[in-house]
Amino acid sequence: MSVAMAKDLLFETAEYQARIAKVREEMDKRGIDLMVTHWAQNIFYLTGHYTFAISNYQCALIPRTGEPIVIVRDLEAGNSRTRAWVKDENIVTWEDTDDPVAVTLQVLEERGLSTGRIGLEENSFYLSSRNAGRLRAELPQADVVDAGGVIEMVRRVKSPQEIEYIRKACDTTAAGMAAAMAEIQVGRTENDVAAAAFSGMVRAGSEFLTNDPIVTSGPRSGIPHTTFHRRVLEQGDAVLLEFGGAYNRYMGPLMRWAIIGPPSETQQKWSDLCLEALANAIDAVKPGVTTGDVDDACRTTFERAGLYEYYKKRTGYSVGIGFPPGWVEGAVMSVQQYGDVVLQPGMTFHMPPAMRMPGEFAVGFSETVVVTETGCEVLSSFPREMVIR
Amino acid sequence: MSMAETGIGKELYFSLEEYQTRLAGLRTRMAGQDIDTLLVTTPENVYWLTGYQTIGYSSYQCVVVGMEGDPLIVVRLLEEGIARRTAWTDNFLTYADGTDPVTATVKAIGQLGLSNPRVGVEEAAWFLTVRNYRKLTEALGTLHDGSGLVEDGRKIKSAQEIEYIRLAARTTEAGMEAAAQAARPGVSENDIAAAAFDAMTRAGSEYMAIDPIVTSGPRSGIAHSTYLRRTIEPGDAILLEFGGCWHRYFGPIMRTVLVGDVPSEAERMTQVCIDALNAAIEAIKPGVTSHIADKAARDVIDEFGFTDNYRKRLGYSVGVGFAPDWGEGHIIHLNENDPMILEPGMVFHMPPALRRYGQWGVGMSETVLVTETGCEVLTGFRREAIRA
Repeated sequence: MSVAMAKDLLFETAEYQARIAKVREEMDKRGIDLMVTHWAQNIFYLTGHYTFAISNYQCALIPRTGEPIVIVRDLEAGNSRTRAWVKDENIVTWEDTDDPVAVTLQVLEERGLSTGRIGLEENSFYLSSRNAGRLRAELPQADVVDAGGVIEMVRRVKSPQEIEYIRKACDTTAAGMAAAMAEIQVGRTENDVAAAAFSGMVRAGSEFLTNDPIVTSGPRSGIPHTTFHRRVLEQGDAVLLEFGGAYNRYMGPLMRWAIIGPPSETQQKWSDLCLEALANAIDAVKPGVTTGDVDDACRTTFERAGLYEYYKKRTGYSVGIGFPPGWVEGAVMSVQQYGDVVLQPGMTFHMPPAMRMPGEFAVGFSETVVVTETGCEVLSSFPREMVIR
Repeated sequence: MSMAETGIGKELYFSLEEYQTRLAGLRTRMAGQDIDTLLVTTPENVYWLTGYQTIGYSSYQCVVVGMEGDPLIVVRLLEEGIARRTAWTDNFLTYADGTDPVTATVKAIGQLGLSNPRVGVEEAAWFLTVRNYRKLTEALGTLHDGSGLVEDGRKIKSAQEIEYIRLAARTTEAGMEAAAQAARPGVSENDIAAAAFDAMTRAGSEYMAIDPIVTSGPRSGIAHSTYLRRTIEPGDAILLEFGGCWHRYFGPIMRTVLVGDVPSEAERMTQVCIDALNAAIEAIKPGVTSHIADKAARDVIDEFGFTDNYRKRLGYSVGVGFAPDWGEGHIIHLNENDPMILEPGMVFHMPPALRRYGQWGVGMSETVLVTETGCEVLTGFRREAIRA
């Protein structure tokens, strides 16, 4: 590779170093000498490296001193060299004919990192049991421990730059929501609506999504986790929409619903109830309260109305960095009953209260919010109301 | 009202006979490894065996396959509605949020009534966390690695699966045509990606495993880069790779747009990719090895002196996919020194691509089917550089 490409860093090197310093504080508390992270989100957070091809083995090593080391497939070398703030010597690649776990072990050995207490993230979607077992078995000198959640502790509070990226992501989502709403009419398909949403978001600057726009309509909308499947929209259909635009890998999700024709009495009532629950949640968000307090504010709205059984979920979850298959920072924290995380300025959440009549319809609203010094700021900028088409 | 009481209709995309055939084949392979209870957690495998599909597949899900009877699907309570709608069996065990899915799985295994089951787990799977794997070990004792048992059945596609790949390819072609129309100086990479997604999805594609890949100019010379708001300029190469989806099956295509006058080496590389792809298509037939197919393309690239600009395998199996990947390269692929013998019904995506690092990248692909006598190209888009 004779031509050096300029670095394309999304944060100041000082910000990466500050994050790593905080991770090292957490490592110190646990006596961990080396973190080995296999979460795409954490690799990105600490080194800047990212790719859409996260089904290939990749990891980052965070030692007690010095730069992190990124281990990626050879095909990803270009991405790493432009996106990771570390020196080229700290980007190690494996070829398609190599065994990536063996390469990782070799790097640990060569750099004197194969002893001491090593933290593996055993909650990672991208660390297989087989690879974890091999790393444990082939590091006999080390005390390998489960350190899932250590880096996520640091990710809980976003920096001003991170919040700015989430804000920009929210703007792309709003553009997609406007385009999707305009597309909804009898005779169009769920796919047409999803196409409009994607186009609206991506033309407004969104990057590759963590999951494609969620569009579900009519009876299928009453089934959780359905999405567009070529269904033709009919008079009287409820259409549930949930998208997350991405900006510099930060996500800004948003949920809204629309109805083709006038809503039924139940739909109107449920829609109002979801709005009330969301408003109650937003009002509850401020420094010092717990995630459980926020969930109480939202959940009891449904309980007071005697309609909890149509809701039955948590209030929300942390949002920030997103990679497929989802924008949920579930490993960072949830807003759920009995949640004991104390809110601090800079935490960001997506809160989507929704109600479903099984097999008939769904209604819901959400906002992406940030905890401020004094309360809560809504980062999304789309009218919070039922849309009648 | 529970999901079970709503009378939600089924959405089945394969016949019950086909699912039973898949299950019977799996049981034969399980017996071959002396496994009588297999825990299937890979999203693609769960879908292939049961039909159950959800966008919530990052939550714990597990199909417990014994040696007889319907498989038992362990799913999150929130998933029950879509599981009942999409799976051919109604044999479910749900777990509520806040309860331990491994406990539910152990209970499900207990329902098989085996006194001393030999349990297989997909140890190579993503999404099954090490924590849950450990809990399974603690509850069940020694586990056996059942990775690949389901995948072995996915290597050869049925007529219905091939039909869905064809339908997926039609949507990919619509996206490629829209991108070809959209690409010109002054528009952004994002505009082209939006045009591609829009056309694929309006043509019927379902949610994708990878959003349209669009990378241009110097960044196209970086592998696995994609749209990032760059404005197209004269002289750019634009690398496009899309995979439309039909019932979770994929038919990907890669093409290259050359904008105005591009460096002569970029032109030459584009032609070499076409020649390499043609050579591979010529070489593919039942009985030849993966190595031979790979070599057919590699020889062309080597002959023109672009070995260092290539450095990858020729291609990989495609079929069922969920994000983050549409490929089945971990099951079978076309690679150097690979002795795997091609059989009718195998489907591969073959994207020979050449890069001049930080300057340009070009490539050309087709999704192909190994037939009884040779090779059928399932994707249908003009196999030449797109001029803009």
